[in-house]
Amino acid sequence: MREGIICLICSFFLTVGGGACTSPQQSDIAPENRTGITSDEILIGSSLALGGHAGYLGTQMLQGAMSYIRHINETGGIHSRKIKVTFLDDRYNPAQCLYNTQKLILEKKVFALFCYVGTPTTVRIIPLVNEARIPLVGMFTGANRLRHPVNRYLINIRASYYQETQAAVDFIVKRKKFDKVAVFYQYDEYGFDGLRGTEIALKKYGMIPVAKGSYVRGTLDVEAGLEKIIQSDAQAVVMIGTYDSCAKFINLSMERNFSPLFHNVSFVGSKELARRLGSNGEGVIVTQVVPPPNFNHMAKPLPGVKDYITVLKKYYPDSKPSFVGLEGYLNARILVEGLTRVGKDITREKFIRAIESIDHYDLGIKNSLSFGKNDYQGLDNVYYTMIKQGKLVLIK
Amino acid sequence: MNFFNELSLKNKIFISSLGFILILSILIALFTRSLLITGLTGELKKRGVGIAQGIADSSRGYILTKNLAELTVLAYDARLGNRKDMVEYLIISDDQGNILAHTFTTGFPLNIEAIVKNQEYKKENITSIDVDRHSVFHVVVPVKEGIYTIGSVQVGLDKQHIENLISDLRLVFLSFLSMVSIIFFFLSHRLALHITRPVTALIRYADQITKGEFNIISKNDLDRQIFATGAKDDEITKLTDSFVKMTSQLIQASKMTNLEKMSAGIAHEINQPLNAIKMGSEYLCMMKERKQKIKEADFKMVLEEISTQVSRAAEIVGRLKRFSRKSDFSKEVIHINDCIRSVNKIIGRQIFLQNIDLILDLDESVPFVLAHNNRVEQVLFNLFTNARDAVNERIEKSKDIEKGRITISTFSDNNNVCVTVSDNGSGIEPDQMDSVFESFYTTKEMGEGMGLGLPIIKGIVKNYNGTITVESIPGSGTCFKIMFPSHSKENG
Repeated sequence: MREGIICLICSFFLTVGGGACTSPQQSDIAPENRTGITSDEILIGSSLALGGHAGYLGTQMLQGAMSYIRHINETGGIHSRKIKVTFLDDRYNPAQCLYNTQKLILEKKVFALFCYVGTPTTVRIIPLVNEARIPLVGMFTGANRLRHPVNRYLINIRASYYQETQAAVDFIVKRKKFDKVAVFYQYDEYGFDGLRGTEIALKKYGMIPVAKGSYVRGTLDVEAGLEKIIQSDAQAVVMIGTYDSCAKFINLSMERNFSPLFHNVSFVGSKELARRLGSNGEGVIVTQVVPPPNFNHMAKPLPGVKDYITVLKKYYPDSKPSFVGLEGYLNARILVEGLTRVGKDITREKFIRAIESIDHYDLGIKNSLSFGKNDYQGLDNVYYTMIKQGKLVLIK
Repeated sequence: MNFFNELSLKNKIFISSLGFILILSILIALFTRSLLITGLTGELKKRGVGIAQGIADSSRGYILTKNLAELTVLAYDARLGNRKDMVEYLIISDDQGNILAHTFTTGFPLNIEAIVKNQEYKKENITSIDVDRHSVFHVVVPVKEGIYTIGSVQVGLDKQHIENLISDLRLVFLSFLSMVSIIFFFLSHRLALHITRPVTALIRYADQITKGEFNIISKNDLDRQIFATGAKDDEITKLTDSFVKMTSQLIQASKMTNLEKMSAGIAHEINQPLNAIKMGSEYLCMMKERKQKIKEADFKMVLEEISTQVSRAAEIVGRLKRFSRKSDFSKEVIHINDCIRSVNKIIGRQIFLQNIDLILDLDESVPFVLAHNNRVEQVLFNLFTNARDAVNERIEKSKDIEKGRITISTFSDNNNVCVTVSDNGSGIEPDQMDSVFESFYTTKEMGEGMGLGLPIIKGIVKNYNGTITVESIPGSGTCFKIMFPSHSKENG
C-alpha cells in the first residue's frame, strides 16, 4: 500500500517535472536557403563607400574585386553561373550602410554580402546578418567586434587589428629592443580596438604603454596627445589613426626633434601617408595585411600580386594597383573559391561549410589562408613595410 | 472511492493532506501564472509604448527630411540587444500610412502594409493582431510636429516573449512547489502516523476485548502501548480511561441481562420456600385461634420446616449475589461438576418449566481444573440459555412435537476435562459456523441478544487455557464442547 502511494506521488512529480523540462527548444539549424541563386546567376550584394571622403577605399576595393569576378564570369563562371554584384554607395555612413543592407537582403534578395568597408558601417549590420543568416565575405576592417564572439556568418579574410598591433609590438620589443612604447589613437571604435590590441600585446611582455594620446575622428587636434607622448620620452609610438592626423603627428614631432619609431597599421592609408610625410616619412613603419601591390621594389613578384595587377590592367586600365584593391581582389578569390567548392546546389549553409573547408589555401602572397569550424579568420600574418624615399618597401 | 474507503485511517489522513497540498500547489501555480501574465503583459505594453515614444521623438526630424537611412537605423536600434526578443518588428510610417522604415530583414509579412495603412495613427493605441502567424500587440504612437501628426511609429510586441519569460520562471517555481510537496509528503506521513497510533491501538484492543481477552486490558498496559512515542494527549487519555471502565461495565451489564433471564425461575424458586413458610405459619396461627393444642412433635416439625425453607431461600439469594458479583480473572482449583450443578440450580427449574428435559450426565471422577467458579458458571449459564433458546426456536418454528432435550455431560479425555452441552434445537447453518465466535455476531432479535455472546465465552475459556468447539446439524441440534486442561496436584 505504502509503496503504491509513494510510486503514485513520484510519478506525479515526474510528470510535472518532465512537463516543465520539455519547453520548446529553438532549433539552431538554419533551413537550407537558396535566396539569390538562379539557374544562371549568383546574386552578391555590397554596400561600401563609393563617394565621399572614403570613396577612394570603396572604389579601389570594388575594382580589385570586380576585376577578378569579371575574369571568372568571362571564363565560364562558377558551374555555369555568373556572379552578379549589386553594389550600393553608403558614403561610409553607418545609417546608409544599414539601410542599403536591408535593401540588399530584403528587396534585391542577394545570396551573400561582400566587400564591406569600415568598422562603424560593418558593425552596424551584424544584427541583420545574424537575423537573415546571410554570409558576409571580406570586410575592409580589422575590428575585433567582427571576430569575437565568433560568428560563422562573418567571414574575415584580412588579419585583425589585434594581429597587426601584436605584430607592431613584436617588431618594436623583439627586433628593436625598445621598452618604452606609447600609443596614439583615434578616439573611436577603430582607435579603441587598436589600443586594446596594443595593450594586450604589451602585456605579454609585461609592459604597459608609457603614454596614451588620442584625437577625435575628423579633427586634426593631435597636439595634446603629442605633448603627452613627448613627455613620456617614448622610444616607439604605435599609431592607430588615419593618414591625415598621423601625418600631422609625425610632422609635428619631427619639428620638435622628437623622433621615436613611428609604427602605423594598415588602415592608415600608406600611400597617402608617405606622400604627406615627404622626407619626414623616412623609416616610418606601416604593417600591412596584404603585400605591397607593386613589382618595382621586389626582385621577384609574388604570383598573387602579379595576377591581381594583370586582371586589374585588363578590366580597369585606368586604375592603379593599391593595397585596398589587392584586398578586394583577394576577397573575390575567396568568394569564388567558396562558391566553387559548394558545387551545383548552392545554399547559404553549404557555402559556409565550403568556406570552413578551405585549409592552407595558397593565394600566392606567401601567406597561407585557413578557415575552419569556429575559425572565420582567414589570413593571420601581417607584412611590415617601411617608407623609403617616399615609397613603401617590404622588410623581412 | 471504494479504494479510498478501504484504506487505513493513517493512509486516509496521509492521502487527504497530501492531496490537499497538491491541489493547493496547483491552484497557487495557476493563480501565480495568471497574475504573472497580467503583470507581464501590462509591463510589456508599457515598455513597448516607451520604446515607440522614444523612437517617435528621435524620428521627427528624419521623417520631415525623409532620411530613410537614419529612420532605418532608429528602427533597428529599437531591437538591439535583449529588446530583440520583445520587439518583433518596428515600423515608421508617414502621415499617409506609407512605410518609411522597418526592421524586416528576412521577409516582408503579407498583411503588414494593410495593417499599417489601416491604423488609427493619430492617437496612441494598442491592438492585438496576428502577423505572419505571430501573435503580437501592435502599438501605435503618433509622431507630431506641433499639433499635427506627420507619421507614426508602430511596434509589434511578441506575445511569445511573455510565454518565454514565464517558462523561465516555471522551472524555478515548479521546483519550489515540488520541494514544498516533498516536505509535506514526509510531514503528512509523520502526522498521520502520530494521529492514528493511539486510535489504532484502541481499535486493536477493542477487537481483543470483543474476543474476550480481558486480561491484557489494564490501564497501564494500554497507556504504554498507546503512548509508545512518549507523547501524551488529554483527549486520548480520557478516552482510554473510559474505555477501560466501559469494558468492565460491559461484562457486568451482560451479567445483569442474565439475571433478568433468570428472574422468572428465581421467583419460582423463592416462592416455594415462601409458600411452605406461609403454610406452616398459617397452620400455627390457625391452631392458636382455635385454641387447639398443637402436638409437640407437630410444632417442632413446622418450626424446623420454616427454618429449612428460610435457609433454602437464603441459599438462593446467596447464589444470586455470588453470580452477580464482580469477579476478576484469578484462578482457583474448582470441580467442573460443582459449577454445572450450581447453574442447574439457578436455571434448571426454569428450563424444566418450559417443558425441556435437562439431563445431567456427570462423571464424578473428572479431575479438578484451574479456573474461577463464577466465570465458568457464567459460561455454562450462557451455553444453557443458548441451548434452551435454540430448542424453543425449533419448536416455535417447525411446530415440532419432539420434546426439547438438553444434555450436559462431563468426562475426561487425555488429561483434559471436557464439558459438552448438546441440545436438539434448531442448529446452526453450516455457512454461519465460521462466524459464531466472531464479535457481535447474533441471530437473535435486536435487544434479545444481550448475553455474553460466544466470542466472550471463547475469550474466557481461552483465558483458562481451554478450548471451545462447536458441531451442529441444522434442524437436529448443536453440541458445544469445552475442554480445560486438568489440574493435578503434581503440576501445582
